[in-house]
Amino acid sequence: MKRFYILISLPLLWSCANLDYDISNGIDNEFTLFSEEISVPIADIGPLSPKQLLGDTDLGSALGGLFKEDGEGYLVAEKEETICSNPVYLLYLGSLDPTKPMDANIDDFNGNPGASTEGPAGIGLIPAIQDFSLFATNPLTEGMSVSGKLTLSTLPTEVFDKVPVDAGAKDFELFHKTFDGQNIIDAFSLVNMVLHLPASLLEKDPLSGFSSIELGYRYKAQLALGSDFPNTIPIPINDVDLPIGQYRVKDVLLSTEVSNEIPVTLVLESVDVMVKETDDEGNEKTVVSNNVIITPGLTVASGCSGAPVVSPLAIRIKAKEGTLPDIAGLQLNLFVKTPTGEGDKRLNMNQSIRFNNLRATVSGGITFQGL
Amino acid sequence: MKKRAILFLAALAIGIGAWAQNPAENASLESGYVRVGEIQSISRNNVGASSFLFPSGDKLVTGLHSSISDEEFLGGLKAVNSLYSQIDYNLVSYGWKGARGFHTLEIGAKVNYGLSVPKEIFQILKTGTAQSPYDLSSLRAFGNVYGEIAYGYSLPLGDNFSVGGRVKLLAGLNSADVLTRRLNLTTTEDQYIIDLDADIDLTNRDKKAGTDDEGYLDYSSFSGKGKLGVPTGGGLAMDLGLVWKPFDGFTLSASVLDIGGILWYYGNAGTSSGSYTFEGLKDLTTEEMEQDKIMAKINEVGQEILAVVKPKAVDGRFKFKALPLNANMNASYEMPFWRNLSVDASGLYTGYSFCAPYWEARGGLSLNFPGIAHLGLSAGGGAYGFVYGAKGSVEFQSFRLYAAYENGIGGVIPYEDIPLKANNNCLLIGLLYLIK
Repeated sequence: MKRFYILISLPLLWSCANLDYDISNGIDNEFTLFSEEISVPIADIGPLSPKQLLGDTDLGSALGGLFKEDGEGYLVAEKEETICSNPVYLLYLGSLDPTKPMDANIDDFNGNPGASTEGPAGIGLIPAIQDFSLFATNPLTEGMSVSGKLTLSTLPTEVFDKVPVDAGAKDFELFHKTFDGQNIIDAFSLVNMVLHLPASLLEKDPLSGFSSIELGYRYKAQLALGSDFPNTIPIPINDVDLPIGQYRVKDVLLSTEVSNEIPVTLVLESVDVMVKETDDEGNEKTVVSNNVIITPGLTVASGCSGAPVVSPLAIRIKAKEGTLPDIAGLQLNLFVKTPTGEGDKRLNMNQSIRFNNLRATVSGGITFQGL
Repeated sequence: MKKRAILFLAALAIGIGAWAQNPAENASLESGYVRVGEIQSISRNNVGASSFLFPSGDKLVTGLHSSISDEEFLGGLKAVNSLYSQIDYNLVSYGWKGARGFHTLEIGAKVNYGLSVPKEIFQILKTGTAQSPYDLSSLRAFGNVYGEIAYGYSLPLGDNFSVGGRVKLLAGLNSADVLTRRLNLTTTEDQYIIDLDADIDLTNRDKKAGTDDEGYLDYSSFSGKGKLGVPTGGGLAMDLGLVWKPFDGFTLSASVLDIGGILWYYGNAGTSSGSYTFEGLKDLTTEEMEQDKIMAKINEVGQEILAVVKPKAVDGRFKFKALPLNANMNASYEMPFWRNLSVDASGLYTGYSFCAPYWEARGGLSLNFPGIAHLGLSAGGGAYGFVYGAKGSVEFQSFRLYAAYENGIGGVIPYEDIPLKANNNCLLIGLLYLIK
C-alpha cells in the first residue's frame, strides 16, 4: 500500500519540483555560527603567585643573589656581620689577673648595613620594613655582660649599661629594632663597647679556651618596589600554535577582572602576535604579524596582601583585513610600575593575582567546514 | 431531485472520505457499504526546506552559510517550526441502514508523529547569544501508533436536518514523547544558565529500558520481551456532526472530530530536571594548567551538564494525550440551472497540543454524476498560504474508487518529496463497496 501511495504521489510532487533546490548537486558544508556576537565564560584563573609562576626557579639566583625569600615568603635583603670575635684563650692571656673578672674593650666600629639593599635598589626595590639587631654570643658556663653605646644614623643613640648575656647562650640579642617606612639605615657605630667577663674564664669555657666570644649585627630589609622598572619586560609565549585561521574569526575580545595582591602596578604596553611565514627559500620563520591589531588597554592596579585590588581588563585582538591568522606565539611587553594607594607594599612571593571571570566575546562569526 | 441531492451529499461525504468525516452525513444513506483499505496521509509543516536551504551558484548552502544574511535566514522561520505527519489506515468499515438511523462500524490504525523546534535555537546558531534570555520550551518530539474501533450512528431529524455521532475506542500500541515543559537558556558574559524540566516517555510493554549506576535511563539497553500489538494505552474519542438543508439545493454541514485522547502508560519514563550554571572552568591554578587537568575539568563540566540533561529513570506513569482536534464546516449549493454542478465552501481548523493550529478556508466547484463519477476542485488560503485540492470518484457497478489530493504551492526538492514552503499535503485513496 505504501508503494502504491508513493507511486501515486510522486508524479504529483515532481511536477512541482524546483530545480534550483536539487540537492544532488551537493550542499556546501560551510557553516558560519554566531555571526553577530557570542560571549563565552572561559575560566577563573588563579590564585597565581610569583612562587607558583617561578616554580622551582630560585629567584635569588635568578637575580644574581641580590635578595631572597624569607620564611614568610617576603623578598628580603639580608646582611649579617661579626663585629668582633675573641677566642677565650687569647682573652685569658690578655687578662692581668685571670682569677678576677675583666673588661675587654672593643674597638670602635662603623658599619653600613644598608649596603645590602643597594643591589636591589638598582632595579627599583627599596627596603620597606627593616630589622636591625645587635647580638652577642657567650660560650662560657657563667654569664658575661656588655656595655657601651650604639648609634644609628636614623635613630636616637642607644646606651647599654652592663646588659647581661646568658651563660652558654649561642645567640643573645642585645638590641632589636624594626623600622617601618623609614629610610635605609645607612650607618651605625659602636662606641665604648666593653665585654664584662667573669673571673677564671678559661675554666668556664667547655672547650678549654678554644671557644670564641662574638659580637655582631643582623640586618634584614623586606623589599618593596620604590621606582618604576626602567625597561619593559618582554615575556615571550612561544609554541602557542593556535590554529584559528581556519575558523575565519575577525574579532576577539578577552575580558577579565584582575584581582591583584601584588603591590606593583602592571601595564601591558603591547602585545605582538607571532605568525609563521615561509620565505622565498622555503625556510619557515616566526615573525610579527602586521595584520593583527591588539588593543591591550591593560593596567592592573597594585594591591597588597589580604586586600586585593580589582581592575577590569580587556584585550581586543582584531584583524586589520580579513580574518585572524594562525597564531604561533605572543610577545608581551610588560611594564612594572610602583604601587599606588595605601597599604603594605612589601613584595611577597605568596601574594597572588587572580583572573576572575575570564571570558571571550567573538564578533563576526566563527566558520566551520563540515559540522 | 431531493434524493439526488442527498445522494450527491452522500457521495461528497464518502468521496472526500476523511476530509469530511461528518458522522451526520451518513444519515441520508439509503443502503449500506463496506469500505476496505482506505489510506490517508496528512503532512503539515509550517516551514519548508527553502527556509533552510538557499541556492548559491550551482550549489545549495544552508541558512548558516556566511553568504546568507541573518534576516534572510531567520526571517523565513516561524517562532515555532513544526512538522506533523499522520497516516490513517482504515482496515475495514461497514455501514448499514437501521430502523431509523444509519450505523457504522470501523476498524483502523493511525500513526502520527511530530517535531517542533523553536526559532531561538537557529537564532543562537546564526547570530549568537546577544538576545538572551531564550525560551526554548517549545522543543518537542513525539510519535504515536494506535488502533481505533469506531461505532457511529446518524439520525435524520425531519427532512432537512440530521445529526450524527461516532464513538471511538482507542487502543494505544506505542508512543514516544519528548516533552519540554521548561527549557530556558540565559547567557551573559559571566555565565550560561540552563534551566530544564522535560519528560521523555516511551511505551514498550514489558521491555524495560536499563539504567546506569546513577539511575539515568539507558535507552540503548532494553531487557524483557516486547509484545507487539498489545495495548499500552487506552482511550476514547468522539466525533459529532450535523447536516442542515435550509432550502432546496443548499446544504450546510459541520462537525467536530476527535474529541478525546489516549491515556498512555509509559513504562520507560524519565525526567530531566534541574538547573546548571556554567561560569567557566574554576580555580585554574598553575598546578591545574596542564592539558590533561584542563581536559579533566572540561569533562567534569560535561558530566555536570549531563546530570541535568540526561533523563533520570522514574516510575512508569500514565499520561493523557489529546488527539489533534478537527473542526470542519462545509456549505454546498447546487446550481439551479444544472443540479450536477455545485458551488462549495469549506473551512477547517485543527488544533494541536504541540504547535500552532492549522486552519484553512476554501471554495470550489463540484461535478457530480450519481452512480457514475464525482469530481471536485477547490482552492483557498490558510495558515500556510494558498491551498488547492482535487477529489474524485468513479463508480463501476457497486464499487467506488475514490481519491483526493490537497497541496499548497511552492514546489518540492527534486526527487526528494520535501516541500520547499510551508505546506499542507494530503492524499486519500479508498475503495467502497455499496450494498445496493
